[in-house]
Amino acid sequence: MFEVGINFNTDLPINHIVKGVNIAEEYGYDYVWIGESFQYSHSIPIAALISKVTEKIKIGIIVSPKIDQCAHIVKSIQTLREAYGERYAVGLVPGDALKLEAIGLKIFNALEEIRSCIKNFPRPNLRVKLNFDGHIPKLCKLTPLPIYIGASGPKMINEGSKIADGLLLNYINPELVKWALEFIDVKNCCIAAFGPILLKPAREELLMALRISTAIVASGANKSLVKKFNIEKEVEEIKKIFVKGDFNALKKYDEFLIKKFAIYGNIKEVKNKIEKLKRIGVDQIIFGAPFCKDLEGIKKIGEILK
Amino acid sequence: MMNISLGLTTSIPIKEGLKLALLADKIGFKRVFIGEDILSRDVFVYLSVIALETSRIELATGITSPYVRHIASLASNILAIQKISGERFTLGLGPGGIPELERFLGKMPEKPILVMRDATLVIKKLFSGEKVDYEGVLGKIKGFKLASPNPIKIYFGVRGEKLLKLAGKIADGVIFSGPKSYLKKALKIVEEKSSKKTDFNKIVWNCFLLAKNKEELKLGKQVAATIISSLPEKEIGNYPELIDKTFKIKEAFKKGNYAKAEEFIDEEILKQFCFAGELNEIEEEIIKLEKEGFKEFVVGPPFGKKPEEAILELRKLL
Repeated sequence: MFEVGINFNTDLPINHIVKGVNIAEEYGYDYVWIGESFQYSHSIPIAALISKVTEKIKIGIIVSPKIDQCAHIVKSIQTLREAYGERYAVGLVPGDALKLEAIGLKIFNALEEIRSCIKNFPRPNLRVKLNFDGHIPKLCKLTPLPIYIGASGPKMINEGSKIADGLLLNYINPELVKWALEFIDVKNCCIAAFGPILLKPAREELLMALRISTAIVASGANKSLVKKFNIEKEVEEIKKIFVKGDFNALKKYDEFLIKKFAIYGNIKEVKNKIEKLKRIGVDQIIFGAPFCKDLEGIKKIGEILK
Repeated sequence: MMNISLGLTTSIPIKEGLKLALLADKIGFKRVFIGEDILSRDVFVYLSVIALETSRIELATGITSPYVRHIASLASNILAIQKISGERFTLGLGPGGIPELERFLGKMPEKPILVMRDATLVIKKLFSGEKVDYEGVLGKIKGFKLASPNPIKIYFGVRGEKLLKLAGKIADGVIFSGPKSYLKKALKIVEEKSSKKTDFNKIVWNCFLLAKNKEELKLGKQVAATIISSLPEKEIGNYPELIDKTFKIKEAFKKGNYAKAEEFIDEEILKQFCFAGELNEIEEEIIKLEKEGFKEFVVGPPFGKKPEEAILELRKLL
């Protein structure tokens, strides 16, 4: 079954998060994902908040074992489950290299770190259950606590699909997602396409937020992808502008950034993109920032989901 | 009048802890402290659950250790609690129990004074909205800044002389615990350094036990053993009457043999580490503590045979 998720970053005011997740639940979104960014509120207490103000929407918690010791991640999730029941998923991500560097941490073997973190979760070996009734169920449906891995490059996608229940692909453009799917060996691993989405027409403030979100994705885009799609020059220039923090200068790359790294369109266009993603094998679309800032947009997309 | 607060630890099942916290909120306790048992539930989730169910009672860790989280993760967790609790949160910070830390970290925690000092200064800076550049025992930080924090108070949960002095200098309060004969001495050490701070908080948290008879007093054994296990060895030397048993208790605790540790807890030790007895006896002790200069009294485990009834009973002291 295809699922729809929405991401809320913790830079948002608490009351906006509460309003947004309530709307998302009311309008039938399956998942709310909470982004990881340690200069803002930690995603785990915010997961507690969302658990308290909602009843059934599933809650995906994105954390990086680079900054949070895996033992803490595991016991935090266990504590949440004890308090609020079984409706969580975990997204383990390598983290943002530049931000990690600012706190003295370096990414050198994210895959190994994530692999050893997964081993810390008390969970059955799902792989042995793969073949029954001639039907191969999706891995993320076999467990009350699915574990996703944030992936953007061929190695992480390939290895990640072997050790997790799902992948959080850092792409939303069907063309890029299709490229990423080629590296997956385990076909019943759940695929979530995660990226910046915005409904047209959008006010200038949201357009700027879209510009920044897409520039973040472009700056961190995997080298193989950049090479494959022949976008080295644009990505390098965007990176330079981004490091300077001169976000207005990104304006001239709007068309490029939106085309490659976002979904920006009216309801019909967004719906078409969702259908396209479904057809190529995506199991969940996650509406990434700045979509969460547009409460009316959450309702409008919710209407078509209904 | 001395403030009365509730003390819980993360080893208490969350629904049980929440029940007691709601009761404490209702009857007018000042604060609820959550002690992080690092081998058990996560303290920030525990606090979040209580924060989300209450609106008045203040909240604090009592304590969490700077050894167990990266300083940026600690800051980010504090920021979240600040926001979801409506600024009701105070950070209780301490090195933590040595045996548990050793098990969690796989080695002895090193340089506790430097770690506590630097963690406090970095957290204070981050929560006053400053950009932090730092290199030292906590690692390296360059240009790290939190988004819209509010200033935070930090209470130290420490026992050794050097850490008490440091607390007097840089913290906003101390959570004292240990043998009763030591509490007064510890207070003096802190006051030498904190005398100019008018709102410096002095909190006492030992084992608390509302008990009607000797049999019920036994409930305090486990908590007393836990406190003893984390006493600095240098400090134990100051109490010749306790020294022999205390070392035996520490040794058993270190090996994870908690039942054995409890065997060494006798009435004399219980008296030293627990506020135990009937309500009027405990009230007398609280009055005495207040006269000595303490400002907040924490009612912590094991509470009594029926914890909820014990807490309700304390209404009479508020």
